[in-house]
Amino acid sequence: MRQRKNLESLSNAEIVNLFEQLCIEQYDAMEGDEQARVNRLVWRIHDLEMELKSRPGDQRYELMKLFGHPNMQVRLSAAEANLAVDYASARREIQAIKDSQWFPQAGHAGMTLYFLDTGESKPT
Amino acid sequence: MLPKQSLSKSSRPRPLNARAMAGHIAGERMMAAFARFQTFAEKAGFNRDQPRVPAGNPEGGRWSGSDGSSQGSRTGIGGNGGPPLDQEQAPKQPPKEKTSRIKAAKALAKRIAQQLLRRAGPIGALITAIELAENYSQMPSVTSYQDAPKTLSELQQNAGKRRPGYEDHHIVEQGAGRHEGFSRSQIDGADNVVSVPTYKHHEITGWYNKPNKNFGMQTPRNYLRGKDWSEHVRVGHEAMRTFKVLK
Repeated sequence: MRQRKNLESLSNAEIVNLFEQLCIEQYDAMEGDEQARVNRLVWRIHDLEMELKSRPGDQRYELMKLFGHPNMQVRLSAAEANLAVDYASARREIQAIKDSQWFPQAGHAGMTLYFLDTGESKPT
Repeated sequence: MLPKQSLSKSSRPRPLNARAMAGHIAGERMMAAFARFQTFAEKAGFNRDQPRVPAGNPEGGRWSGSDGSSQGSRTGIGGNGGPPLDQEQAPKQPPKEKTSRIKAAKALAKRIAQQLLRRAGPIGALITAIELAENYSQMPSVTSYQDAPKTLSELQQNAGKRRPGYEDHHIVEQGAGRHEGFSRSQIDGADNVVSVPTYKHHEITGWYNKPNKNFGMQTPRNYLRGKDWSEHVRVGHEAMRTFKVLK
């Protein structure tokens, strides 16, 4: 709850910057197989996305500025956050990440597309 | 090939200059030496992750176990001497020095894979060869990362062989198997255990362990809880295909 209150006081731009920074940290943690750290970061990134979602008009589209970012995890997290906002654009970005064959993000992207296609994943 | 005279001057292939040629040859020689080292290491049964007697002990540094096998290793399929990754809890954080070494080697493995994709030139090959030499301890894993996807039977036939650069992977994870009440013979059976490149194993296990938006922030492992064997296999095979392990 304390983190949620802190996020409420941040502007959209500040949230996007923090999102980018945490995704870069997540990338680094994944490279070192630091699973506990990865999972903590995933949850913090999820909180940022939920904060944007809760704002009037659903402000997650702000994360689309991160499409094409040089860090593959930033791109992937931003794209997955926007599947419910702009499915076609988000899906194109995820497909591009899969096609890059830059792992492990290409693998995560491929599995996301698989579960979207089976209907097991329904973006909200 | 068309005769040279039929091509315009600008489109005729230009011969490599001496420097580029030297770089290309050096890179090829280094890759050949590296391949010879890997063959030697495999024949010798070298396993970088095999436990050793700790420092401070009179026999410090030596491999533990009278026959060179790791102490306390699992017998049978799956006991490759490396850390078990198919488990419920997240693995312990590796020591910082090992983390840095693994990170550097993984980054190198990915750069090589990308260079192969882009067919990078001779200078790229030479630089990569030099970096390979600097990460020699991780060479088997860096090399295995470049493996093309294999058929299921090819992956199954190498299970249990404790090859450097490879780890045994349970398609239906051991922890999941215990929860669902799958039999030990099913979990450790030849159909369920495959030999995969070490870094690919880490990547696949990492996917299973990470909270996932597709499943309402459950990990894929938790998502599969309560599902039957065929569902576990379906997802396991798809993961191996997506991570370019399985054809």
